[in-house]
Amino acid sequence: MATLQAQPSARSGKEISTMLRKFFKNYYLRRTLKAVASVFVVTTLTFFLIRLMPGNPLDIYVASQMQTLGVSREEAEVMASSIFQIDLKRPVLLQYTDYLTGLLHGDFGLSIVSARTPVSALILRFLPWTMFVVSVSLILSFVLGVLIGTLMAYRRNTWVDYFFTGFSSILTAIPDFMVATLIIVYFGVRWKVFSVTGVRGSLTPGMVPGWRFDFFIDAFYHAALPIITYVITSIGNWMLQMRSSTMATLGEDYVMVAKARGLSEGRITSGYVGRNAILPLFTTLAIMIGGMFGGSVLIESVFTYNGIGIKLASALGARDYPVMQAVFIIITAATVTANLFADFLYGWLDPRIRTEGR
Amino acid sequence: MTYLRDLGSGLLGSLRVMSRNKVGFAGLIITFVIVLTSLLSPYFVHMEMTANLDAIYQGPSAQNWLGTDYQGRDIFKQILLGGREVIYVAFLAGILSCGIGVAFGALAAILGGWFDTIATAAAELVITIPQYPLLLVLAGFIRLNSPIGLAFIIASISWGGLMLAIRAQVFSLKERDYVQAARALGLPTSHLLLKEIIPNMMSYILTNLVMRMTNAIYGQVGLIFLGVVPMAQNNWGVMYSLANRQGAIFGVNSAWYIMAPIFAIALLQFGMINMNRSLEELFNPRLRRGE
Amino acid sequence: MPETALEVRDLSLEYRSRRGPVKALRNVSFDLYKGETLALIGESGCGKSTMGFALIRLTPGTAKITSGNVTFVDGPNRINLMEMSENEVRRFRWTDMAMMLQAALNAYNPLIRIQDHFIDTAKAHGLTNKTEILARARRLLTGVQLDADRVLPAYPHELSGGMRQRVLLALGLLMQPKIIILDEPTTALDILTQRSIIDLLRKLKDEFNFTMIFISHDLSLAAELADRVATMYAGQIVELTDVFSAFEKPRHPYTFGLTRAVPTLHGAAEKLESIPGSPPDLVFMPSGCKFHPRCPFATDKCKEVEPKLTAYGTHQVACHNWQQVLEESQKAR
Repeated sequence: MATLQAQPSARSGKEISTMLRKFFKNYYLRRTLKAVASVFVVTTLTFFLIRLMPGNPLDIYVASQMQTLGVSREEAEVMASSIFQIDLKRPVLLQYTDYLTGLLHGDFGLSIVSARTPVSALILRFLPWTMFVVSVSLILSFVLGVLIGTLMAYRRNTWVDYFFTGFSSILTAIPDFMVATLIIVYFGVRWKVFSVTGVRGSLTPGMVPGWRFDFFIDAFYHAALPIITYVITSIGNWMLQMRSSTMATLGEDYVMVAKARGLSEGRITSGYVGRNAILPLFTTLAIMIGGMFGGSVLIESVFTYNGIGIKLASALGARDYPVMQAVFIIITAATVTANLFADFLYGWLDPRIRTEGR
Repeated sequence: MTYLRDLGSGLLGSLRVMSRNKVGFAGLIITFVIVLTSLLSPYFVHMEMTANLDAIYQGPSAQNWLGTDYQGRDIFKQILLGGREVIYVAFLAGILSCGIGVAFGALAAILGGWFDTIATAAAELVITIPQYPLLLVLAGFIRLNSPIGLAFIIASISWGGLMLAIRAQVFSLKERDYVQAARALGLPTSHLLLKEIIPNMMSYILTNLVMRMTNAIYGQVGLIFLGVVPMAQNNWGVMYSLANRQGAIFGVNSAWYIMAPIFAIALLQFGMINMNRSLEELFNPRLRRGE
Repeated sequence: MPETALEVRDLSLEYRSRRGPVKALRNVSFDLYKGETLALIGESGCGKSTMGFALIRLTPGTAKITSGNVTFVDGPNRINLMEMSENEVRRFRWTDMAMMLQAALNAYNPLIRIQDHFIDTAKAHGLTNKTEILARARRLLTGVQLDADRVLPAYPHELSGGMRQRVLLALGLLMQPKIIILDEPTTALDILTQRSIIDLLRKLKDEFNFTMIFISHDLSLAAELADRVATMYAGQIVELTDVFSAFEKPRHPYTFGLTRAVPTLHGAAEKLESIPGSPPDLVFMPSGCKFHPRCPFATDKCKEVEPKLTAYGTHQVACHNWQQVLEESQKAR
């Protein structure tokens, strides 16, 4: 009679699928995969838009070079490949993989407009300014928003509450770049709080970057208005969210128990109410960061602040496709990374998430 | 549908219900007035868009309530006429976006399986990618010729949030006892969808609609400002864009040219956002009974 | 006369509401004797939980104590709780009198570990030595039959309902309070866990010798643990007597009704009778005795004059016809 032999070394299909499921349930892993997938999709999308779509820029470029310069198709294609970093002689699938590898090496092609400057150089020059402004604004508006929101919840239905609710209610009705315009019109032109021409750009012309005090002051001076604009337009959201989250947390049983235990108001507010109330806000951090990068295009335009947003705006106007594509990919990557960071932070703060997969 | 019956005797009753929330009702009135004015004014207000170089950048006066622009034309009339296209595109984009969101969300929850996985993945992706840059890139690569095209593009990237919310709601309702009971009685899913799920989420859907509309206004004006969209003559976004280009920001009198469209847009959006609270009174019976 | 631990006199409390003031407690008076276990029994909405909260002055903003005194007696010291400052009350809570709320399931801050809960509590009352605090916590957790090494570093969501209830008990004993108030200690638990918690409470009481009030709608719990039983109705104590009398010779129709609604183990297949009707609206209450609409013993006097809690020997009862009730209840046994 045949007997079943136990085979401890081989894993059954069922065991493997359980392992895989557990693996994929890991919170951090899932989030990272999602982030990578987003960037991947974006790069594929831009490839499609540039190369495969009917009426795509690559074909148009080739055609226009042939027309204006009178060169042959091969020559036009050679010019196109160096600009777009796509070798037209290879089959489409390989064009795609080459394109991806190129991107991973930081190779974004050459700018059509800026006299054959590598796009990556342009990005490296302008990106830090936007990152600087967006990070400072995000931290400021989050911290202030959370503090005010908590205050509003504790002083619910008093004048404090009504004042801030009204304030944010009016502000959210105005698009962010229009707030920027309002700041210039009122504070700059009418009340002359600052010099309208003096605030242009990210640095005063002639200022040399370096680890010097006057450089930092100058940088902050020029970044102040964009930062103020971002903060004003995004603080309302944090305020209201924190307010409702705190109000909900105040009704929780463990807050009552904490009071019965004789804990001090301070400890309860920070450790029991605050910490719990702030958690849901992290889930909207992604959208807010995305919104800030998105807003940078117009806000930087209004203030002529030399960040990556204004670069996208000008590339758009000039149909400088390599630059547009690169900035879009970079902005997405930056948003997705910041979002990932926020997700990790959330996982670290909330112990219940970590054991989700068990 | 039951909730329509509950609305109190027709329109007057509904108005009374909605007026309970003062700010919300004000918002409703403001929105209504602006939309009505914008839609009807082309029939009543006529404007010559010819330049009157004597009257450039004049401040408000008896003839020109809001002053004149860089070519001496009356700003107030431009404001009256300029809302139509903006509202049209915003409304279209909003309805499309919400429609896609609700349809996909419900379908994903009902069909489940691979359709659900793909649809959810798509929605999450669309949400992760920064909305406005995506809009810019699409607008840059795809030639935009009409307001309808603009509305479509805006709608095509903003449906994600509502889709996920509807999907979650349908999922949770699917498991509830009364749904199982209804199923056992042989009622089709579409019946449940229309009678139970959508009315319950009405206020959420409306809030979403307003948000999509404000997003669409942002998108439009932004695209016009960047020169991506062919400009119609009378359009708040165009006014803002021209005012910027013509340096209207820098003069004291000329500032009216740029402030007018800003104020119009802000007022409309303020009205729309607050109108929600009034509508909530109507759709949320629990609120209405004064609980 | 046995020593008192707590003296409550004429305690009244009202909540503000849109319909009018909700009179949740109306002239409640009783003495709590040192070392006893007093059960506060009643239907939901009778004011029993409110009583617990009022004793540690933890009432929501809309509530106001309109009259009365609560005196905490500790040896020669007599402390009037109603006159304490906010800070004094805060220090008083958990150290002298600990009230443990009903929801052990949601009693913990989900973001911090169990040991942090102990540390937080101890620090709030002046103990700062972490090692000492944890050592004490360890002993208490072992005392409630939990594995301290497993429980202390754990997060609340990692513990089961029964475990959380035990931890709450251990936490409650951390500062060695003289009086412990338990609000529905077994309600959310399954029957086996209930049993173990009841046994645990007995053991702890013997070991630590505190005075206990527990609040419940479950009369059988009183049979297990209580020395005396107070039944509450419509914000008032309607009967206060020793546990045996409460069960075998109740003098108030409400107590009587309650006992007949609970099945007994060795009774023959007795008919269970629930009390008809429902508790009164605490804003617009009936005239006279608040129980009269549901009372089989009600007479005309009951509709007009509200009976006060009066002592007859060691039994206190608020009923005009208590002698009749006593007769009936003795017959029924």
